[in-house]
Amino acid sequence: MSRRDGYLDIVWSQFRKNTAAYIALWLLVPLFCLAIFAPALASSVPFFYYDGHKILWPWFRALLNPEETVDFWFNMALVAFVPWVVAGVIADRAWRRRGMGKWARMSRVAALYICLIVLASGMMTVPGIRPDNRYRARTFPEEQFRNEKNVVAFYPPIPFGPTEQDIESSVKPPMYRKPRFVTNPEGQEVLNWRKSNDGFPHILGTDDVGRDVFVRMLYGLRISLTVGFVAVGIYITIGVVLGAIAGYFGGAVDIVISRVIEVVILFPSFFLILTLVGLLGQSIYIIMVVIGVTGWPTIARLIRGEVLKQRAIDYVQAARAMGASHSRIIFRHILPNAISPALVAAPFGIAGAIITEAGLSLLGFGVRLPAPSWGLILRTGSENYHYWWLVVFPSLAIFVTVTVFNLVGSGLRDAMDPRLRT
Amino acid sequence: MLSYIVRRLFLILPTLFGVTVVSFCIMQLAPGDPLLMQLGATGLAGQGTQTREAYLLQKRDLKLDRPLILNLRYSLDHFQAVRQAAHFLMADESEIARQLNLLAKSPNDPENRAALRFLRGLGIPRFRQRLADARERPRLAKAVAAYARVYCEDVGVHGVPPLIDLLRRRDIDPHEKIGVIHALNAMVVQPFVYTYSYPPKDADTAKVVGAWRQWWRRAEPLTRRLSDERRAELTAHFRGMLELDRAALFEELDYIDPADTRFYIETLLSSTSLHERAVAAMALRRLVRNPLRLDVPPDAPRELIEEVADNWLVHYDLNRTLYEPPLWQRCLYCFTDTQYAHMVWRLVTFQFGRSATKTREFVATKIWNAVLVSAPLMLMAEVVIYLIAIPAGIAAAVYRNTWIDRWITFKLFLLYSIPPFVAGMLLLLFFCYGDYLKWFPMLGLHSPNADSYAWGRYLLDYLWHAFLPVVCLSLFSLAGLAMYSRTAMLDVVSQDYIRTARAKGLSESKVILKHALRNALIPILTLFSSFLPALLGGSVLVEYIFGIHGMGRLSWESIEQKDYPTLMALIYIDAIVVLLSILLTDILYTVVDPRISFGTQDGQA
Amino acid sequence: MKDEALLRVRRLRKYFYGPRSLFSTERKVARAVDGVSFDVRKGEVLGLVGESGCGKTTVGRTILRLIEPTSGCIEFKGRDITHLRGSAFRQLRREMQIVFQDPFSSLNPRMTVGAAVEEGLIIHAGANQKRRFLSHESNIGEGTPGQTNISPDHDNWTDPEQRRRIVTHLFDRMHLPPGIWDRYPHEFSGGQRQRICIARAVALRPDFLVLDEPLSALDVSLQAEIINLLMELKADFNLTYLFISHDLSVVEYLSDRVAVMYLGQIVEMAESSRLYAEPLHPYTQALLSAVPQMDPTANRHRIVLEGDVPSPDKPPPGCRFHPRCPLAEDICRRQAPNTLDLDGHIVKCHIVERQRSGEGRIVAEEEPDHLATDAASRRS
Repeated sequence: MSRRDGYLDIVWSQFRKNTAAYIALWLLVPLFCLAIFAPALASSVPFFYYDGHKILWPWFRALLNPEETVDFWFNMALVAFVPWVVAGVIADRAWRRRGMGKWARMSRVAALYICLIVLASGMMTVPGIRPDNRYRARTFPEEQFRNEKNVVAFYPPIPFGPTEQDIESSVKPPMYRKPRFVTNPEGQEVLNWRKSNDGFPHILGTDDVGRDVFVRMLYGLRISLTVGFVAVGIYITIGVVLGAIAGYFGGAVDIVISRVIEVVILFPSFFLILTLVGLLGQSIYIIMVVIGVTGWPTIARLIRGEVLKQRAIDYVQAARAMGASHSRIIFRHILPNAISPALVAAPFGIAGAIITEAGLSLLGFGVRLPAPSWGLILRTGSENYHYWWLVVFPSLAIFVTVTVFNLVGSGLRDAMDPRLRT
Repeated sequence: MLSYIVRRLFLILPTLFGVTVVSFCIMQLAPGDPLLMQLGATGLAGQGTQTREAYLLQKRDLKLDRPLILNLRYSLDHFQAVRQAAHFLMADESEIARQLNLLAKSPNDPENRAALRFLRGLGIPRFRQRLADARERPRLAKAVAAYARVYCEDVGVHGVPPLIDLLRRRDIDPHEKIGVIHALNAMVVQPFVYTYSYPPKDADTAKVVGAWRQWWRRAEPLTRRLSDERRAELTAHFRGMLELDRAALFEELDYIDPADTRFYIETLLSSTSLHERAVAAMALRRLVRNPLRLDVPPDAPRELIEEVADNWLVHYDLNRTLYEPPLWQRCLYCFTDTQYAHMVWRLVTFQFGRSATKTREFVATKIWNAVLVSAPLMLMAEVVIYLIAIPAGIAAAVYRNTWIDRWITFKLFLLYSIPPFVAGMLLLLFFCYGDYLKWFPMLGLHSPNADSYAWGRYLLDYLWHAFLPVVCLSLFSLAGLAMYSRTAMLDVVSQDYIRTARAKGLSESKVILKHALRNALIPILTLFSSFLPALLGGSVLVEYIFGIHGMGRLSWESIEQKDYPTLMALIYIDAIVVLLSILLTDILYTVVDPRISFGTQDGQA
Repeated sequence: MKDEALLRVRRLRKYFYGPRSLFSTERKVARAVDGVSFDVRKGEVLGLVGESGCGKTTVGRTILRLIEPTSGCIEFKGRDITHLRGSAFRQLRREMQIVFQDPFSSLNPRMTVGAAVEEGLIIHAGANQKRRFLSHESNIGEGTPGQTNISPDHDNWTDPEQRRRIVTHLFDRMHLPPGIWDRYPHEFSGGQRQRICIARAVALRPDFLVLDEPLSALDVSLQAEIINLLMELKADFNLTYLFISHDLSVVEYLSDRVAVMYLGQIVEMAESSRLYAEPLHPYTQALLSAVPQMDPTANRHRIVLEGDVPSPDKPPPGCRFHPRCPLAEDICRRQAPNTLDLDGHIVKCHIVERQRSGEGRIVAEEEPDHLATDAASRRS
């Protein structure tokens, strides 16, 4: 260990010793890329389409006008990705030349991405800038491809949308490909492919109304990640602030907050979430907020204990003697030393929130159809176990995602555990 | 120690208060009127009188007509509003429509202004726009009539004194009196009691006797006189009736003669014995179908109106304490006569009432049946968890950093990442559905004809059904507990006294079992606090997947069916159970670990 | 100027209250500091000695109002600061600083040492700016150039560059290696950390410094360096020290005057030379007899105290020292001794009072003091 190591360097070097966690951390990168680049991988409309006279860009128009708000944010992330990479590399170099530390640069580059996403979303809300989704109702019929030779369409690798239904190919097993011709009652062979993307195989099969399971899982990843991060973000914020206030000020404030913590902890969380979602209505936002509102007491408790411990240490007294304000003492002195339990709890919390969302959707209290969610696919599967692919693949997806986050969490816990450090 | 426990118990009080507040808030979040849903009624209009009355009675019974947390109605003046309500209740819809026209035309007239203020206060949706629109007014009139009635129902007892004042006045015209009587009918459900409750209580005497006396005042001239011998005969017969038990008395009452009414009323009014009065009142109730008239048709003659008004005045006199409570009671009611206070009372006394579903079961029965289903399952799961997890965790700690440790930790980690419902669905898919293996049944806990089995077979059948659910229920917590016990054991093993024990030359097994294990079990004990709640709570998802009708399934169903009484009971019971088990764990902790003292160390007050 | 009291502490009390018992209204009261009065003159070093647990650390922290006093009065530069609030209080924070005993816990482990020392300047930058303008004219020509260029009146603390310069210069001044701005506390040795702590305290240009056993966590070899550093700083920055320690020889070396504390009270206070030459209180005598001496042949009579220091929540009646005092008499058990002022040598003992009867004057402890507040009314 070099002598110039800050706390983060120590944590990082400890973290790297845990191979599984290290791999899991890097697995987060493809996971996020899959979520961000989902439309580039799978979309029911072609990138461009040449109908013999002019070129249309239906994919871009669809990209900027998604039906779900969650999709809108992720699509903005996709739009902002390339500018971010360019700007990030340039800025990173500049900051490095000015001698900024590794962690400061990393956090700034990450913040840059968020700024770019917000900027892009802001721009898209200005009327006149966002192109309308003019080809929403348009189909790109197979007929045209067959008959007119100069029609060109370029599709994403998987040319299905997450909500695109096709009753004719409902509950088909993995790798099902729609037959090109069928015999009609009169005994003639007729073309069965109506849309130009009908001929592609469904890699993981289809669900009860013929939606492609793989594409739904891909878009479901977006919802799972959003629920996980936002819900945990909400409850960690509430928990850290309340816990720090309770621990630092003590006295009556502490008594009140501790009682509230105790009361909320008393209610079994899944049941409470189920009740609130059942009463307030189903929506992904309500789920996120409810998980956030019910999850904070454990964090607050951890932080409160840690702050109590830190408050008694002399450096806090030194800061007081220096005349630092309460907020300065809490946020600059105590919290950086006390926040590690919350940071360790975050990946586990994300895994838990993903499980909770899937469970709620499985019970029919989660996101509403036709929005894609792993739990909803499982719900379809639970109605008839003969369609095994509706059970196995979402299960696997949940398992892998949860494992990744749990591994990161356990790696973080081991790295931040003071007992393991010398 | 004792002082600690007592202090701990005191700390429960604010927590319990918080629990009731949260439960109350959750219930208030619920959209729609649970009672309306309960009665299966669709809306205000189209309800039969019978349903309406049942609805009102139940609403008052559950105190849902009270304000939420602060009852100031006793100190408010309802006179103007109630008078307006009476006014709108007397009129039929065409007349209301005519008045609405007038209101729309000259809203600034002082009399109209009062009427308008009242109408706006009713909370009719889009009242202003609809009043402005002439075509809307006939329909608005209908709404006004309905809402005025609802207003009277909501005001309840608080509206009665001003109305009685109106009735006493000589100067108001009979037409308005009809409205007042309508309003009174809406406010008061069952104004008179004609018989004693069972068993009879002396407190009822004033009301029962008062009601019949009022009736007798009018009925006496019309009633036949009795001869002395008949009277003697009846007295003897009545003595006999007093000896009978309740069922026989009911039968006997079927044979009494309406001609003898005078005897019974005289007995009731003159008797000093409570039992005699009770029997006489029952007899009278049989003989007189409709003792006191309380309602009037819109075109009633003056005499009828006066008679009914007189009846209402008597009602008011008889129930004066209800309508004019003393000052201290009014102050008390501010806080105790509210929805919240009544709910707390119901929760504290564990009166959960009936479920809101079609079956109208008692909530307590429903919950108890569900507990009987899920508790054995959870018990088995917990036993499995503790039997596997603690040895596994300790083994991993003892053989730390060997392949045993790594293997156990890895397995545990995988288990920890499989949500129980995912595990359940995969198990069902592979072991039950039949495309692969058909080793276990798909749904339920018993075979269809399990009731006819001998007990041994019944038990085996049960275990066969319960196997997969128990596996699912165990998986997740098993991993958590094992990891926890591994950490606890690792902490202990690295302590100095373990090294000392080794240095002393004790055998390794003795060191582990005698010295380390005992101390490692103390932190594990804290997890006991989750044992009881898990036992009672069940698991929503696992029970859903395996079609088991336990607690989890019950909570899911009660949410889905908007069965609020059950839901509230479940939330409350869950919270109480968790609270108690935390308390139990704390106390257990002090018993087991002598080092822990619960005085606060923090000297800085 | 020498006799002007910079800090005046009068009848300072700090009681710590235990948890309220459930069955009675009585609470355990630990009287950590029980009626302490002393002055610290401008430019002097007052040593405060006593066994551990006698309340000397509490005195130090109470003076800085890191702990709120139960009663009593603290005057700093002639101003009552016992109940100071708001911006005046923040200003006071700049003028009084503290160095803690344990250099390992008194630096924030997640902050680079540069940031830690700079922080005080950031906090007081605004106030300092104002002061610069106010005092600019009167200060021209004053100060001794070359001695130091850390002067609150000439530096702009709102400017990061200047702040950096001030702090780097201070590090130099503390004989710390160059280029340590971005290092974390765990990279330094105990002695270096203590220097950083001192730098942090001195950076604000305080007038008064509480040194709360700053040497006890250090090796003896390092102690000497730190002592020398402290003496240099005192001269350079016109500092006044309250030096809290349990090490009598260090106190003798450093202090102009010494106060001896026992169980929350000052039992003896005098000029350093006078106290060490002629200790009057039996407790001081016992303490001094326990100090190891260089000359093993020196004839000395070692007084060994029996028993332990009683718990401060049950102080013995009468003279607090009587259960362990070799000279204890009947009166010591019954009656608390008066504070006797023998021409600047203050002592609190019945025996001394009898032996020196007629000399000195008795300081009335319970004289009505308009600044003192009633303990009972403030804490209930």
